[in-house]
Amino acid sequence: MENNQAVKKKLGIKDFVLMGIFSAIMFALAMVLMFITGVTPAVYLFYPAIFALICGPLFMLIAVKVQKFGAFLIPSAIMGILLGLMGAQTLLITVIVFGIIAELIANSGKYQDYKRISIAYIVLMLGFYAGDIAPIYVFTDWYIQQATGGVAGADMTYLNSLIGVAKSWLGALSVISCLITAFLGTVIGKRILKKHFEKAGLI
Amino acid sequence: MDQSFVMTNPHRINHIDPRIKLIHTLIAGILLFIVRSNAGVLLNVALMVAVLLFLGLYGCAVRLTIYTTVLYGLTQLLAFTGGMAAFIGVTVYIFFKFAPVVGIYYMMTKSISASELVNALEKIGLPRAITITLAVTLRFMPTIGQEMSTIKDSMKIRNIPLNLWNVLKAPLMMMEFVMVPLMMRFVKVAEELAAAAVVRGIERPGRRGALFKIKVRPQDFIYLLVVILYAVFLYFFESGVFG
Repeated sequence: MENNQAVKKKLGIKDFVLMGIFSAIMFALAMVLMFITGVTPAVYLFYPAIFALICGPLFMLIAVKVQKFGAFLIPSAIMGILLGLMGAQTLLITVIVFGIIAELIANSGKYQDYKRISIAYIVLMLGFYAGDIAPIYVFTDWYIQQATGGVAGADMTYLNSLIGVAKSWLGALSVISCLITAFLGTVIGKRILKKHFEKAGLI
Repeated sequence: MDQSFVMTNPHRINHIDPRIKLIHTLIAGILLFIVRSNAGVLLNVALMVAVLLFLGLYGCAVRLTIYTTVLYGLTQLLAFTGGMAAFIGVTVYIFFKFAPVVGIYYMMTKSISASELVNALEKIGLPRAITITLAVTLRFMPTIGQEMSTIKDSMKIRNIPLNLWNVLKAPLMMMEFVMVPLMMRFVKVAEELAAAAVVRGIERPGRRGALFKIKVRPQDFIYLLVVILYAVFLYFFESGVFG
């Protein structure tokens, strides 16, 4: 029995497989959402929010099933590597940094404290947001620079202010919505786990 | 990123070490922020097209060329029109900026097999926790589609079809109906897969063997040199040495 307890502290092959499968779902989800919301930057800004809502139950299940150091870091690192290979290296960096923070928060509650798990999840999704949306701001700025220097001339100043307002406004709104949906995701996740998984004895 | 059916032959002249391709991806990511002018992006895409042709991915090269030309044409057209069209122009411009990354995406998904990628990442020195998980993730991509269609069918049998109208009417309920079977199924699959992997000796300590040996050959160095020189050239091009 004691031996069993000691073994449980380290990540086993079962945990790796579980995290791998769930990162596959999350990655597929991220790709589908990117294609759908990629129509315009105004909608794309809210893609992390939708992502956070749907991934909430998945991360809750991982945290409850694995309960060891790495439950948040490894799936987020996998997502970061896969998306980084496709050119989103900013995401790789932020996701790993925020993943470590989230891991430490969840670890301080020994993966038992529901509040700490949800805080960790929200932190992780914030990192996801930062890495994914940051390039859009950079490119929009360049576009404005280039367009104002270009053909259109005087009426670009008006457009500039319009884009500026939209950026600050939509930016703030999208961060807040991302945080709220991440929180909702954990609430839904907890409810789903209680309603279905505890009854079925899978946890 | 469906890499399960990519076959590679490491003895061919145009086979490039996956690690070199990883470095190329990194350089492309940095170049995305260095290259600002339209001409720079076009030059960057030109290299990607050349690389895709070299790797024998002719279809991808053609698609990348069409993608870039169409988007470049659109940016020019929208900038010329001015006014509100410039608002849509932002979107088109961002897509245009990402054109070299589309090339990278084709390269990484179509020319590297999953096991090769995992092998290369292991050789770089990533921990086993990451490489094993990544291997599982890549192997699982195609299965998700199958599982999803099974769930869709069973929802149809219960007279709750998964369509846009239902999703808009009761989003949380539909989310529960899709997520719970999916999660249940995958928890079970994870247990079975873990047992199968243990039986096949995945927990054996020490380095994992590979059917094809990965090693850096002269052409890999030439490839890397070309990529780096081109990046340096683009850097100077952007700072206006040639202009």
